[in-house]
Amino acid sequence: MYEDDPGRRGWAEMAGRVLKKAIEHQREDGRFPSGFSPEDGTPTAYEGYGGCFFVAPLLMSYRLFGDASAKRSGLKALEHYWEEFARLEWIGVDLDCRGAVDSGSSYALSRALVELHRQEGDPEVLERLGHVLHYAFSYHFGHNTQHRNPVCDWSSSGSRVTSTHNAHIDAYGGSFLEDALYYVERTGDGYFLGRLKDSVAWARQAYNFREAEYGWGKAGWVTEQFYHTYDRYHHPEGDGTIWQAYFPWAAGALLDAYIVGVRLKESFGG
Amino acid sequence: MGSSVIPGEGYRLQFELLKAGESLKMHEMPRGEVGRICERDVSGFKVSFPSGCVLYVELLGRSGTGVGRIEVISCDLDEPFVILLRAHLHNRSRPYFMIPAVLYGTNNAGRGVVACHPDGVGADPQLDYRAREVRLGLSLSPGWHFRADRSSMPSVSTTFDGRFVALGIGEASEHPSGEWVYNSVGVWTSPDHGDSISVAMGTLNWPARLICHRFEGSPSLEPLTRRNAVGMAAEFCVYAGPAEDMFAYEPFLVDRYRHIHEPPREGPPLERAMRDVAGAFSRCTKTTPAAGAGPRWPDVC
Repeated sequence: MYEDDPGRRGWAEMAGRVLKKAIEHQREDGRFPSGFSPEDGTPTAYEGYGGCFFVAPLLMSYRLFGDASAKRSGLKALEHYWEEFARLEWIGVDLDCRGAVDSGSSYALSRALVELHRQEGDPEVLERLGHVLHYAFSYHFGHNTQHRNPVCDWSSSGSRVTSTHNAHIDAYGGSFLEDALYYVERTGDGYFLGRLKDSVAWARQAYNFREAEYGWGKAGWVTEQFYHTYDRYHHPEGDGTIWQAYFPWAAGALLDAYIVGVRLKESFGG
Repeated sequence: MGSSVIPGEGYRLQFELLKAGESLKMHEMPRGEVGRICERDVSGFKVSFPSGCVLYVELLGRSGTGVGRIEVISCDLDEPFVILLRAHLHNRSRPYFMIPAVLYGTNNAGRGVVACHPDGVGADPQLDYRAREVRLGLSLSPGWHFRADRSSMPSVSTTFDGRFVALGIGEASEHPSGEWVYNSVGVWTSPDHGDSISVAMGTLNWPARLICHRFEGSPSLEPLTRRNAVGMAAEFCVYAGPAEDMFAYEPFLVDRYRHIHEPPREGPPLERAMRDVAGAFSRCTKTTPAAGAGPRWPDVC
């Protein structure tokens, strides 16, 4: 991790300055703003779940810099966001579907719970992490959808639907797999292990292995949107087509999945 | 005459046949003709509909989730139709509903939030609990039915009064000839008829399909027809159990995953995939903003 690299420590210090600003605006119930003014940094909204993304860095700030106030603030927020999570309905933060119930917001909570468990080893924290993973994986396919207009024989098993609002598959699910791996390494949970293997296997086939395999683009390119159903935004037809454009963020999310795949092989073989 | 309902703890099941012409009005929740259960044998039973369609429901008897298979064994209907398996809920309190990746609770109905998208349209389906009308302009409806492939685990579940009830169905109904039609899943709430969940052979889109962040103007079907119905079959499941908390859905989805699981197609080895994706990433260094699509790299690096 970058915070362990002295050459990158400046990144963590800069993040610390952002966290101080967030703490200034933390509400009594522990909630952080979900939006800030780009002009002066004042809060513009509290209703969304996005403030939960401050919690893991606050807890890390304690681990890196011994900042006890950051940890107090993080723990208060964690309890607040856990209670909201446990209702299984929130106002999400994924950029393309701001406001909709989503899976991406739960990644903020899984990352925070992993960080807290690293520091304290509390089994109740691990149990909560399990519930968050169950929720996050509820957006993941366990089977391969049937396609009427497939650009190639791509699969959906292991991939995730973006949100209740955006009915397509994207690669962002790769970004929380390390939290799932953390859980599986400590519990040996067979269900999550299967989900992890599916997710890594999906990522291995979700790019152009050869030029234009997905109907467009160079070898190694990755799209943002796979249309597994009739819904589609950037293609005249759904049911198996994709958005024909290269997205570096999606490539990054696949690389996240591959890194987890390497660790998965080291820990569990196969 | 046989019974039309199969009782369960906290719910009752019934089969309905929904014809294309007479039932599909946006502002009237569709209710089909109810099938009668008849001719039981050791592995299942037949369901007969007045308009001339007979199903055979085979019970496969797995532990945990009750799994079965529905097959259309005769059909005299000229009109396209779908077959619903509906679970009426005996709930005293407002249920929590889940269709994985599609509906969680009400999707924030009543919280004054309309989901935003760069296209400027808010249209995530929101469940307006027991409302008397559909307000599609606000994405609000007291019931929703979706094509099964919209859901990551084609199923619908509900938690209420300490109980958990779920229905699941295969993504598509399949014919021995290789022909197939997508199935569907849904939720219904009504001040007059109470609450229910359903899965269907064939697709019922109600009150409308959502495409490109916009709702189509009317409900629609991807139905079975007289030509393809006989022999068409779908796997389904019924799951019920106690619910100590909101996480009661977890064992159902674990069980469902194990039942429907397929691996993705085989991709390149991990190390090769890393080299391919990271190599393309590092070769493409120019960036060009794309109208309406946020930052992306151009199709030609």
